Amino acid sequence: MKVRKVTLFDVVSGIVLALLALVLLVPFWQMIVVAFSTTEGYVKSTYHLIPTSFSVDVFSQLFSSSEIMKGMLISLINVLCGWLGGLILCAMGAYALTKKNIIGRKFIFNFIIFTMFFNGGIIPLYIWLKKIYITDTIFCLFLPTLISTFYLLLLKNSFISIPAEMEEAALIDGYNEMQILFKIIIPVSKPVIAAVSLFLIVQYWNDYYNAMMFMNKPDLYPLGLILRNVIISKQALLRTPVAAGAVLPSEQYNMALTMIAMLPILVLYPFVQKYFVAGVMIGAVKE
Amino acid sequence: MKRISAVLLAVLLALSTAACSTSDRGGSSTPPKTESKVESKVESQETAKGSEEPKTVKMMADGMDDKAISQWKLLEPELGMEIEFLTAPGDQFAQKVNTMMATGEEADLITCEDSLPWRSWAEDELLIDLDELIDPVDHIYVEKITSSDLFKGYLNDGKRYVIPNAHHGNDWTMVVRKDIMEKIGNPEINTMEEYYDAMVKAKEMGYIGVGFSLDDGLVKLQTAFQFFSYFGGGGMKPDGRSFDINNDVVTDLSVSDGTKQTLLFLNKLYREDLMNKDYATIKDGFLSTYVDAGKVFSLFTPAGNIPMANEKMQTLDPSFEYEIIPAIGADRPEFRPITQGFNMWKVSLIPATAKNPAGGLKLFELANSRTGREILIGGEKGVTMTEEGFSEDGVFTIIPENCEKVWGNATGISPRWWGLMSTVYGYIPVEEYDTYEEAYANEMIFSTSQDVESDNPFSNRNVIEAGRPYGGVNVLSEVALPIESEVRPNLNNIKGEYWNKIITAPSEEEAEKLWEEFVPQWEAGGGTDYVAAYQEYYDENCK
Amino acid sequence: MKKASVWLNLKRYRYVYLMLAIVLVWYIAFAYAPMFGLIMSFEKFSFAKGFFGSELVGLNNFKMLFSDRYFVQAFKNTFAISFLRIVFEFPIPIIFAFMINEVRSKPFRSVIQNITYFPHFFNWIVFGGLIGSVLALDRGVVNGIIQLFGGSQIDFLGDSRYFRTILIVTNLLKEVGWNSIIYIAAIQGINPTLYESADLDGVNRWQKIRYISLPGIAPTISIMFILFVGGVFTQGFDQVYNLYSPVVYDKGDILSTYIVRTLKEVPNLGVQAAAGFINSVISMLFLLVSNWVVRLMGQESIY
Repeated sequence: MKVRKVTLFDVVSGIVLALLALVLLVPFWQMIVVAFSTTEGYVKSTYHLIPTSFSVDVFSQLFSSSEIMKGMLISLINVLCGWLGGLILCAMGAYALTKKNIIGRKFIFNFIIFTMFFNGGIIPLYIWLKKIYITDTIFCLFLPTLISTFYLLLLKNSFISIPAEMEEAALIDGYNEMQILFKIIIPVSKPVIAAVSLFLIVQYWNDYYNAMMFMNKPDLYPLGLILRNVIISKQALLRTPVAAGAVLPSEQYNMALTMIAMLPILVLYPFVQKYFVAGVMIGAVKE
Repeated sequence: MKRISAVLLAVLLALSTAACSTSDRGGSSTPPKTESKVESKVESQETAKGSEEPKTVKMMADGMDDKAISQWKLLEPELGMEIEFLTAPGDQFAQKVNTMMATGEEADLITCEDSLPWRSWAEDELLIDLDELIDPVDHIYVEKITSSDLFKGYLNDGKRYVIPNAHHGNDWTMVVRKDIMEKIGNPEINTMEEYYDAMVKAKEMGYIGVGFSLDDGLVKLQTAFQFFSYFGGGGMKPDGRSFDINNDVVTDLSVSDGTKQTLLFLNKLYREDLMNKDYATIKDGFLSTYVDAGKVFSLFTPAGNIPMANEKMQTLDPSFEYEIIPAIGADRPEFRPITQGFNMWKVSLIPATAKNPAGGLKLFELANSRTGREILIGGEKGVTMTEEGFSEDGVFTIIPENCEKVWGNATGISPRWWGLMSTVYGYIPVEEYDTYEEAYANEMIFSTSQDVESDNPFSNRNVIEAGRPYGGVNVLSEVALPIESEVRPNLNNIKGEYWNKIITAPSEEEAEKLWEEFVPQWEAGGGTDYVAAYQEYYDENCK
Repeated sequence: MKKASVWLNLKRYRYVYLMLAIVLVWYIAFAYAPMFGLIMSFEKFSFAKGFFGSELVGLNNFKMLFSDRYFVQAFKNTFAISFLRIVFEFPIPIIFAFMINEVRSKPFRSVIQNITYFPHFFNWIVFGGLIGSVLALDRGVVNGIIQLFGGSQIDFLGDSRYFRTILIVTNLLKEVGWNSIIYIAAIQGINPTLYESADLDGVNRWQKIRYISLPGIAPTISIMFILFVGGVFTQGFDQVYNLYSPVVYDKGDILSTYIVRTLKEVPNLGVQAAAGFINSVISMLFLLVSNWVVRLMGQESIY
């Protein structure tokens, strides 16, 4: 492509984008600064932009807390089940829907789409999950949201663009559709699979909603809910007589906990990043 | 359109197939099953003593994190059963309990706020009738508190379904900064005018006159009202009952002149920058932003918070210090000493679907007995407190290094002695007195030996002593009528809207106008019916 | 279809049907089964009696809700905020995508993109606290800047006049990067030869956008529009819940926060179910309307 002149638009746009990025960096930076300050440093600093003190106390507090460690374990299990289970089921549904000769295809398609926009409400869902004995088990953390219709559609659109010859060759060789899905389709669709995987992993790692609604046993709380509780309970503790000496989690503790909660995602992110833009593109554009 | 009808057909199909397969589970077979389950359980306890006794008690309570759980687990040896814990995040707790009760949870003991619709639950037979479970000898505490005169408003149709949890509402206090007082000449603060002047002087030195923070509506405002009982506006539990009885006429303090004066005063403080203008939005940033940073001159806070606040402030400047001062207007003849005005706050109950109701009751009884309180407050002998444990008069010695390790603090306050089944830092000696009221009046407050030696002004014993004049209750404060759950949410919404508008009004006229709007709104929103219901109760039962 | 060919079809595609069946079982079990709980909205619900045994009270629960002026307030707010979101939060990621696409320096573009993706990974509990601290009086960066320019402080989160704006702006800041991914990808998916021939014809940048890029990503925009509008009414709970306070309920309280705050102590769960039902129905209406609008504009829709 020919090199264009730098226009006023380019300059203005560049400035706007840079400003935006700067603004977005501020909360992120503040989080880091606060997590590593001492109490004195925190209280003395007004804007929390320039680090004036340094301490890793809250981090050692966090890592020695069995509750936090347990929460991480639960979150890990939740992520594995939600990601693998979700991916497999979405892929199966997506692939099945690409087969044009299935009876009732349109009906099934509508059946699935409808659930994206209408649901029974959270109370009926709770009651139902209770009836089938899922509440208070680890299953309630991922089963209710296992299949995302949106990702299913994304995968379907991407599978459609795979050349039919590949499948036909495999069929001739005697493979059935399930084997084709796992041996051919999925490996070929790396970008979109990576994209959906990232979305799923992020979703289940951060999730607290399912636990908050359906999980009453504190020893099965995922990290997301523990984080939420730490922050919320601080608000609750403030309006009760805390009694001399009882310790409120400090602001630094909250920030450190947040950082730890975000860490796995941020670590994963650079590896997956190159895939998912391409993945989303393939999935979304071909309609 | 064709596609949409196809979708609707699909929905109908799905619904009917799903309905068919589950109708037998959700059907009407449950009531008889539940009742017979309860009866047979009670029978089996009585007739088959010693044989098939359940091994676990499931307890549902707020704020059960790791530390709290380990604290409660110390009761297991005494209890003879394992305790299983259920909980929910603090801000979801009421919702969760409501949902659990409505969906038949198998918890053996649930502790929740009394604003939840337990009366409806009792009427719908979702709670166990405690009369069948309570034994006056085995459960002496429960027996005394549930049959006391004070709590007779908690009966439903004369039967006992909930157990009130003993409560100390008296530990909120007013503090001022000793060092700032000195700088402004140690003025007397006995009247509102004097308080106002002191705040203005503090403001000139760059401090905030008085610091406030709301979180879910009106909670911290109540504390202001306690100490502005100067105006006669004191003594409310803003999300609960707040009655005044004069010459046999019941009025609600929410719409009283005293409240109006208090709100107008707060509005004045707001307009003149004598209070932090972000009181409604700062939420949990309040302590760390204002108090710990030493910016606030006066404060209404639980006395227990003060040593911590002092400690944090002193890292900035060792002269920063809060001290307790008596309530304003305490000497006035019209002073009405009603703080919080109530004797309890939470109730404990046992759902009809509990698997081990006797266990749940036993746990509650234990948690309020001398042994139980000692364990919950002192912890484990030889670990957080010395081997000798508690003395006769309720003093125990903590081992600070272990307290730090196990509880996270070195001052000897165990994580969950408070708010769960009792907020009394001690115990109520029901064995020694005939009635609950007498026992409560003679409660024994525990103390660490370290506090006794240093005569720590913020120790629980001293704080409760200081709060005692404000513990007044009237006969209606412990009465919870059915109308509560019908009008409470709406009245709270109306109060929340108007009180905050009044405080933040741009001028005094505006504030007055808003008050004039508020009263009829409150009355029309259920307030009139509400007062009438209590008046009727009073006329029938208390005159 | 003839019976014989149906049977053949089933046999031939049996593994496909198997996969479909597994997936459909999940949908029935976790998406449709709870739906019949909607009956609760019309009942005075009692668990002991179950869904089909509880007393039917017709529209009583709904009447109760609409006679509560705080419910109506929340209802109106939800509409207002939803429209604001559609007008601002939907187009801006698209504009952002174009701006990013026009940036020629690859490293600069990549840095900006990655920074804008970060906030998406925060959840609102934490992000709400950070926003609160940035917008605070006395020690918030924003007020600091305002004072630097001689203005007086504004209590952003405590002022009903600003609250909705704050909602929109902060949500944009958080999600604009992430939401633009799909548009950036779509723009990159347009056949480059189209641009090349445009260059030969001397077409300028704006004309390229108008005649090539926009039509090229029109299908993507359409689908995203339907998805956005279909979801906007019921989403937003986390953000509002973590940013709001009693002083802004009049403009900021939405249906989901109202339900959680006020209805938590109402014994008849049917009322809550009714509120949830209203939420879902309106959401569906939004979806159908947006679908129709997209159809009207000649684009491909979901239905």
